[in-house]
Amino acid sequence: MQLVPPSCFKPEPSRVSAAHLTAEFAGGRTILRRQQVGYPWHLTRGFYLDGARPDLLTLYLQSAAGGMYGADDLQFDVTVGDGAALHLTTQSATVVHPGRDRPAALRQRIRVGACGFAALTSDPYILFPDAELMLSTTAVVEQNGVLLIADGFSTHCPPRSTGVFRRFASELRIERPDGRLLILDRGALRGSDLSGDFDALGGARAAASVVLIAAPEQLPPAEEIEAEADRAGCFAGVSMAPNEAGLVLRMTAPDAGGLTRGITAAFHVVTRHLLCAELAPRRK
Amino acid sequence: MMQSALLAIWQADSGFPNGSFAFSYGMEAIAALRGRFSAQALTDLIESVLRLRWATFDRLLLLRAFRAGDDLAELHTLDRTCEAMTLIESLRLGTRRNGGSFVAAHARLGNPTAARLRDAIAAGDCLGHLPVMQGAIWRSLQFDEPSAQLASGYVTASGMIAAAVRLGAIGALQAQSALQSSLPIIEQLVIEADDAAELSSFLPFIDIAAARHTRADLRLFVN
Repeated sequence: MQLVPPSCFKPEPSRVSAAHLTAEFAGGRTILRRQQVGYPWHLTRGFYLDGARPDLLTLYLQSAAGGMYGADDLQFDVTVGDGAALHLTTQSATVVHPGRDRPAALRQRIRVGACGFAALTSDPYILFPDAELMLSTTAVVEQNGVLLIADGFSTHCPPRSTGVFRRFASELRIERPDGRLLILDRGALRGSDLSGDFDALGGARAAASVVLIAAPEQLPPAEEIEAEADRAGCFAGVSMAPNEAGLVLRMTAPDAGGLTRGITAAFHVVTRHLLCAELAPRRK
Repeated sequence: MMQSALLAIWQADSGFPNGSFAFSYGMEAIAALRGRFSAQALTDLIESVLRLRWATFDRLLLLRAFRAGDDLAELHTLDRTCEAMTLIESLRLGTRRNGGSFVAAHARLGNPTAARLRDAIAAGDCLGHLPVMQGAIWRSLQFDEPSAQLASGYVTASGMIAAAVRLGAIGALQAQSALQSSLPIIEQLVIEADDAAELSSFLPFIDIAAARHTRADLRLFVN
C-alpha cells in the first residue's frame, strides 16, 4: 500500500469556463435569444439606455471571481444576429493576479450578422506583478455588419509589492464569412520590456486598441477620435485598417483610469457617426 | 561564407537604391513629439523596434520568404499576411513602396527572381512588402540565412539612424554611437530568437506616432 504524506497536494486544476450569448432582433428591438453564462461571470439584465436607438441592447459583464488567476481558461462566444444591435461592456476593470508560471487566458469568438452592430468595449485589464495574460479574439463579420471592439491593459504595482507583470499577449483576427482575412493584430509584451520614454508604450503604462469594422462611408473622422481621446488624457492615433476593413485606433495613457476615459470617448465618437445618435453614458 | 558576408554588406549599404531614403519608420513623428534625441534615447528606441517588431515580425517574414524560394503562391500568402498585420496605413504603404523599389532595382540589375516579382506586383498577385521581397531576392543572390537576417536588422537600425540625422534630431557622431550600440542587439536576436514563432508586433507608441504623422502639416518623410 502506498502511503500519502499528510502534507501532499496536487496542483489545482485550471478554471475552465465557457459562456455563450446570442442577441437577435425581434419585435423592434434586440433581445437575448440565448444566454449561457456561468462562474466566474455574471451578466446583468439587458438595458435599453438610448432613446435615439431603442433597439440597442446594452449588457454589463461582471466577474464574481475578483479577477483572473493563473491557469484560468475562459471562453466567451457572442453572436449578434442579422439587424441586431448589442453593446457588451464590462462593469469595471479586471485585475489579473500573479500567474505562478501559468498564464490566464481569455478566448472570445464573435459573429456579427448582416446589418448587425456589435460593440464589445472592455475596461482595462490590470496586470499585477508576475501576472501573465493571453487574449485571443476571433471575429467573423458579414460584409455590411459593424463591429467595434476595444481592449487594453494597464500595469499596476500595489503598495508593498515590487516588480512588473510577466507577459501580456493579444491576438485579434477578423475575417469575412468566406474566410477572407481582414485584420490580424497579434503582439506580446513583457513587463521587462518597459524601460523608459522610448519603450513600446513611449513611457506610458497603459495601452489599448480599438478596431472598427465598417463600410468606408460609415467611418468617423480620424481627427475627431484623436482629439476626443487626447482630451481624455490619452495619446492616440487613428489609421485606416488593412483591406479597407475600417479604422484602427491605438492609444496609450498614464494609467488605467485615463485609458478607460479614452476608450469611452472613442466609443461615443464612433457611435455618434455610425448610429447617427448620441448614446447615453454607460454608468458604472 | 565570405561571399555571403560581402553580399550582406552590399545590400545593407545605404548607397543601394532601395527606396528607403523616403521613409523614417516613424522617426519624424517621434522627433516632432520628443525633440532632439540623446544617443541613449535613440539606442533605446531602436532596441524597442528591433525586439518588438523586427525580430518577431520582419525577420520572420524574411526568413519564411527566404525558405519559400521560388514558390510564388507562398510568397503571395506571406505578403497578404504582412498586409493584414500592418495595421497602420503609413507603415503599410511604406513597406510596400519600399519593397517595390527594392524589387525594381534588382530587376534592373538583371535578377530573374526580381523580374518575376516585379511582374507579380504589377499583376496584383503580390503586394511587394519589403521583408518578403528581401527574403526572396536575397536567397536568389545566394545569401545564407544568418547574413540575410543581419543585413535586414542592420538596414532597419541604420534607416532609423539616417532619418534621425537628416531630421536634425541628433548629431552624426552621436547617431553612429547609437548604431554601434544596436549591433550586439541585432546579433543576439539573430542567434536567440525563435524562428518557428508566430508573427507578432507590439509597438503602440510608434504606431500612434506614425498614424498621427500622416495628418502633419509639414512632412519630410512618407512615414
